[in-house]
Amino acid sequence: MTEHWEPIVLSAKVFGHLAQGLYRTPAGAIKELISNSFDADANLVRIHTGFPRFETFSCEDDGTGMSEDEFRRLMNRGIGSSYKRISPATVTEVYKRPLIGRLGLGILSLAQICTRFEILSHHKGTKTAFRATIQFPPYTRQEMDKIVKRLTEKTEDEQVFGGKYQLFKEQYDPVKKGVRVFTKYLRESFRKRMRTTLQRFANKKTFGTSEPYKTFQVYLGSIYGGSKPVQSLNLVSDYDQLLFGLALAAPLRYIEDRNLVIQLPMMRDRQSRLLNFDFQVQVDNLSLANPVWLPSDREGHSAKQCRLAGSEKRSFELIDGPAKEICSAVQHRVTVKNSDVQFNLYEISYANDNVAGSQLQFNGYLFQQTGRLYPRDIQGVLIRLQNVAIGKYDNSMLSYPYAEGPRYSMVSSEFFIQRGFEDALNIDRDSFNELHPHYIRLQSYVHSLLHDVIFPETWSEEKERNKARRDQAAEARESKFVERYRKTTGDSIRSIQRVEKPRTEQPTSALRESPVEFKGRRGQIEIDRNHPLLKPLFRRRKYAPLVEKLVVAFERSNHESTAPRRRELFYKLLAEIFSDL
Amino acid sequence: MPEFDKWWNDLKKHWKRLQHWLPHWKALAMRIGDDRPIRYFTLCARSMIDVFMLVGEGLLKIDPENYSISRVQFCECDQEQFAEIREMIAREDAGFFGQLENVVLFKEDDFTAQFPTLESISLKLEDEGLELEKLDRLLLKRTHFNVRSSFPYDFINLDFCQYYYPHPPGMLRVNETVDRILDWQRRLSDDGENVNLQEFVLAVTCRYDAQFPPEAETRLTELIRSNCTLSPQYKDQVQKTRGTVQLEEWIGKDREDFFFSGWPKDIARSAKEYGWSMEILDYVYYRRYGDENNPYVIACLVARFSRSNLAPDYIPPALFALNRENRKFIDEIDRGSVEGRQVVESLGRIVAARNEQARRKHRPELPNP
Repeated sequence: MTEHWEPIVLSAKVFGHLAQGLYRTPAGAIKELISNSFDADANLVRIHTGFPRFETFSCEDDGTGMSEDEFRRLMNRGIGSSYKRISPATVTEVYKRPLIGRLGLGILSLAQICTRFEILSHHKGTKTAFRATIQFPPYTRQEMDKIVKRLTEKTEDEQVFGGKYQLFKEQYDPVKKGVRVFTKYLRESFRKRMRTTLQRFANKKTFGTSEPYKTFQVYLGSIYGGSKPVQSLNLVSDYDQLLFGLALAAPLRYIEDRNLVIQLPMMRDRQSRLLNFDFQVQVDNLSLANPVWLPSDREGHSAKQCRLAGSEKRSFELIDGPAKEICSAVQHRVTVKNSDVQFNLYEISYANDNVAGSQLQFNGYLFQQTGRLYPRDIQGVLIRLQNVAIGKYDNSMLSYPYAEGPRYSMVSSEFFIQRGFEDALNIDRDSFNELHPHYIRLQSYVHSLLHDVIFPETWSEEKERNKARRDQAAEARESKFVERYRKTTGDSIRSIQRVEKPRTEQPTSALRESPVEFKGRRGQIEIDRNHPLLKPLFRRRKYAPLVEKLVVAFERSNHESTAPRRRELFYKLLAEIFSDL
Repeated sequence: MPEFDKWWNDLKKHWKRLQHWLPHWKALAMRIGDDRPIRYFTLCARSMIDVFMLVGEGLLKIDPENYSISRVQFCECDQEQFAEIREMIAREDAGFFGQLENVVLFKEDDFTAQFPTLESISLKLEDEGLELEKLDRLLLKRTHFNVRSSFPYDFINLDFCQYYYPHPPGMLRVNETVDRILDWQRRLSDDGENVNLQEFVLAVTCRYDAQFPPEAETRLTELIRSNCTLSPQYKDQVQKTRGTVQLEEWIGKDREDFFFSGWPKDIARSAKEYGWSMEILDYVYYRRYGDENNPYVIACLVARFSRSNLAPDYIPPALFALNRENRKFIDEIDRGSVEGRQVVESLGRIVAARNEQARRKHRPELPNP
């Protein structure tokens, strides 16, 4: 058979974006395929990455498929054009899912991870099928840069050779309906990135095994890891990040018993809508779900322990340049069983018919916990458009302009765009045009809410709680020392008391006295913090507990009768003190 | 109806699996005991009957948590089937994409020879301007390395469903593949388990018909002639049982018998070269008709290979193959007969287990056998 190849024609704009690496992460690229499947009313998307060798990649769905005409249109300047945008349908035919795809970039997104692939489509609508091989141009980095440079010098939108394709008709088979993509031509840069970081595979870090994850819950378990959550996804492998990124980006259900936000009525509705979409994504046999667990702190508090306890409407003034309006959010106090911590969950809702001449409507939640959220990647604000996450969590809180210290790291929120934002999305579908009026309004909403409602209230609460915790910890450390002291010395001591004795005598005579008094009968050790020898040692409060222990050890050792015994006891006590640090 | 391999529910084929594969695999598994999991390599195709038969017998373990089947590897060159089989095994690290013969018999050329390690291949693959042909060669070499490093296996099931000696060119590709595999079976496993096999079982299934290439006939003639020269016992047996030592006369009388007597010697020769002592455990065959009503024979050799301290001798397996009594013919099995019902029942159980996995994985199910 003679090989008949046809060119893939791209607009200069699309080519320029591709050349610069359209997607920031592999997940960003692969999520486009998932979005296509969602739009095609698929029930199941199966992605295989070929872990751990990453030599093959496949993505299969059971949706309505793509027709040959649509495919050819995309290959001929159709990618990046707004064909879908002018289509009257806003929801899918079967499951009434809001349409995600707008620019037909799904296929091209694969250029990020491979140089060539095969696509097989059985289209339900036309009852036709085709198989095509797509070859991206073998441009070197330098050649790409040269073309981009030439294009930027031109004023009109030029057509660029974006690769070639070869198409064969196939016999339609309803059982095979949907789109399947296969490749063994994975870019080495992608493979390398995936493979080399497997040393940091979360399964390996948490469970000491390099085996694939058994279930998605096991995977999440290794990320959130009870009281030892992964601090940042940057610390685990790129494969782990890919799983997390895809699960976060796709329109998937929340894990009910792991995410507190599901307790909000608004989120329950959302969950039921997501479930009605009947959409599943499997990556390497793992059934993905929304990977966010809230709360997620070092104390290991879980959603199961949390209860919404009373709510209050909180109003604040939204200031967006000259535009001002009174907005509100519902604050739900969250109590935690068997714990003194208290979290806050804010239910958000905003609607305005005229933001720069068009409607803007969004809702969402903002969760605030005591202590940092882990992993760091769920801190901040995530915006979802048509259920799909755009980019990652923005932990700058959409460029919040004030210094708020660690309180940034205690907030996790999702905003769901219901109306508006149509043109605010950049071509990569992974970021927004930050000068778009809808983006700016949402940004102002977030900033005003944080500045006027959330952050002021938490500051004093946080301070008190931290102090109480510090005291508690110091007390625990001290009683541990007392117990060890008792064991080492054989003295029946129960506590250490601090006293400040009034001093009238000459400092020289005071120097002869011991600053520590051992009151065996009362089971107490008294430390005179007013003693002239100790005073300079207590200047730094931070070291006071350590100084006390060292002084006690020294003075107690001096009670021994011989130098070797004194030395022996002193070093034993030192060992006890330092074993705790 | 999705297209499954045509003969998955052939009762004769399943009889072969039950009576001529399974007992030997079970016996070997007993000898291995609980020390380590069984390592299995197969060319199973989509139906995966052999895999689920071993799962059903407990020889391969299925994880109750995620239903993954451990220590199964396969080779498949169809991308759709590859993805489906891998998913049915439910382990992303299972499987090699490519045709077994191509992968195993990868031959260096001046270009690929420049990249002797996986690391150097990886570095070269970063050059994205590489011509497709060269790229394919390097990818094949990488798969070759990976397949090699996955060896050894306790059971190897090479159901080629094609001629052992295909028409030239490439008449010896299958034989050379087997030869290379026998070599790789001597490896110490790379997976940290440090498995160093003392024995394994290999099943080779191939096809024979009147189109047997004359070049292959010449090869077998030479092999049998050398047997006769080296072993008086073998020569006597030929004389006694075939009434002549004139090989052309024997071929003229019964070509099929000549083929059956000859080809196991090719495997025995390789075994001897790599220090394996070969014992034929079973030698079975049955007849089939192709799409154009063309008759052909499916032959299956099941052999045990064990490490030999002495120089292995290939005459015993050659004598075994020569003896017609040792070949077991599987006749048509009537579904209504006692045997037929047993075979259908067994196949039904395997299909049920397989389909259960298929349902979990949302993959096409096999029809009732």
